Amino acid sequence: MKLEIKNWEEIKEFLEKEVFIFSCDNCGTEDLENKNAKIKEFLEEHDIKIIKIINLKPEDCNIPSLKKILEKEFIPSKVVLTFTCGGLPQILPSLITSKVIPAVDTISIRSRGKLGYFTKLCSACGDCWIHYTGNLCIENLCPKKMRNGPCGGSKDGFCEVFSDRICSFIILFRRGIEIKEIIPPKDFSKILLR
Amino acid sequence: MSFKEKLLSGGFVITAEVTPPRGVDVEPFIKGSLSLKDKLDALNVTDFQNVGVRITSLVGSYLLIKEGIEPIFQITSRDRNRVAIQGEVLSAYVLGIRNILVLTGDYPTTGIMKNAKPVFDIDTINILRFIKNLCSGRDSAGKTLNGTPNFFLGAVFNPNLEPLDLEISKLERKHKAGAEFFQTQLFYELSLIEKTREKIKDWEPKILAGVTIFKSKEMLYYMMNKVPGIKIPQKIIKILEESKNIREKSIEFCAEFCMKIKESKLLNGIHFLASRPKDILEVLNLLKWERKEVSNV
Repeated sequence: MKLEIKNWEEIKEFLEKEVFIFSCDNCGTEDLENKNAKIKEFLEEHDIKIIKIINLKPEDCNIPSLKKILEKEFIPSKVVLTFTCGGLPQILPSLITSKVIPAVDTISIRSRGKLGYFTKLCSACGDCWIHYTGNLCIENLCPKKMRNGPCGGSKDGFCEVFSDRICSFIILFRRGIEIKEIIPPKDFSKILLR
Repeated sequence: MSFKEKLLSGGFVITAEVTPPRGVDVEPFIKGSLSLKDKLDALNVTDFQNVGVRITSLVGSYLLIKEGIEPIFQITSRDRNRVAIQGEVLSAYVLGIRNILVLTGDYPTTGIMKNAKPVFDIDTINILRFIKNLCSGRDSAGKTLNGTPNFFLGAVFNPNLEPLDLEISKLERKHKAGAEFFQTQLFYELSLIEKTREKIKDWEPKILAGVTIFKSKEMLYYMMNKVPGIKIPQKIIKILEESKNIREKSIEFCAEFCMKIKESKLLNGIHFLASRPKDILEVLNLLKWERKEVSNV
């Protein structure tokens, strides 16, 4: 699995002075100590204090295990930063009330052994933007990959392409999530050579 | 007076969609478009409508310019990436095209060529931004252009969408990205435009109402069931279904609705969608709107 830490400018507005961290060994493909050292260095550079790091093992990358880990180890925090693939930050908001921000872009998902369950939710698009969309992966859900609102083809709130699916932007609207700024087009350069 | 000048100076404009030919015989396309010349303010040239192979919108628009007809060049995000879209737009300017309508485009599986790979590299709001960017002399990679274009940009507004507030918010974002006029999807409830205008406080969008003429029951059922984003009220379906001649009834109904649209003063014009030129002419004959009157309302 290949992950790349995001550009500071992209996530800084979502952060607090202290953050809770979720990390992992990229499904057994990365040295965890080395990865966490880089995370610490990245946050120290920008004066952000780490409340605690939870390292999620591939065998614990599923809802029942995650619930147990949260009960034992999680300290309620305003902001949680995930240095995992895009699966975990999609799941966490249903289990905790913190703002969950992906701090990395997932370039590719591969494993030497077994993949964590949450990888199934990540499209490895290389330009994760779920922090703008209430942690809903529009990249996976919208067939037209819209970034700035619905395409206009939905019928009674259902998708033009998959008629049994509610339009993702209507879900966001109902949750009171408004995309205020214009989201630029996706940067494909990160995944073109993967 | 150009389409842009007339619309921006408060005129009530009339536009219609024309579809470039499937094949290389352009005569019927030109003939049909010429029959509308001087009766309408501009003609929208569709971009691979219904996911079907046709002459491109660019060439279709150019053919109209050669006949002295002002085109609105339509471009969607379905079939071209950001390189092709920007290149096509620059080419459009060179060919004399000044109006562009930006659309998302229907998904391949909802149209003719269901096996085509869709592109959707950039959405409508980013296409509008990129075209504005070209108008200020740079492409999206930051390269400086040698000679800059200038366009009158438009986008689509679908009043049928629920929640309407979400569509209004998108309309406002399209406006921020550069859209100066809006053409609507087919709709029948003028109150939806009233609500839209009430919601938008600090500016007045120029909105053209999408209308159509059903030439047959098949077309009515097709529009009801196959065309994304359309909602036809049951009472209208019933009137049309029960009529002896659906085409004639539809022409009569369309003319009545156009009158209501104009009298309501809620809209800035009419846009005929998926209608044959000869049917549009019949509606215009019923309306008896003088060109002068049309221009100055």
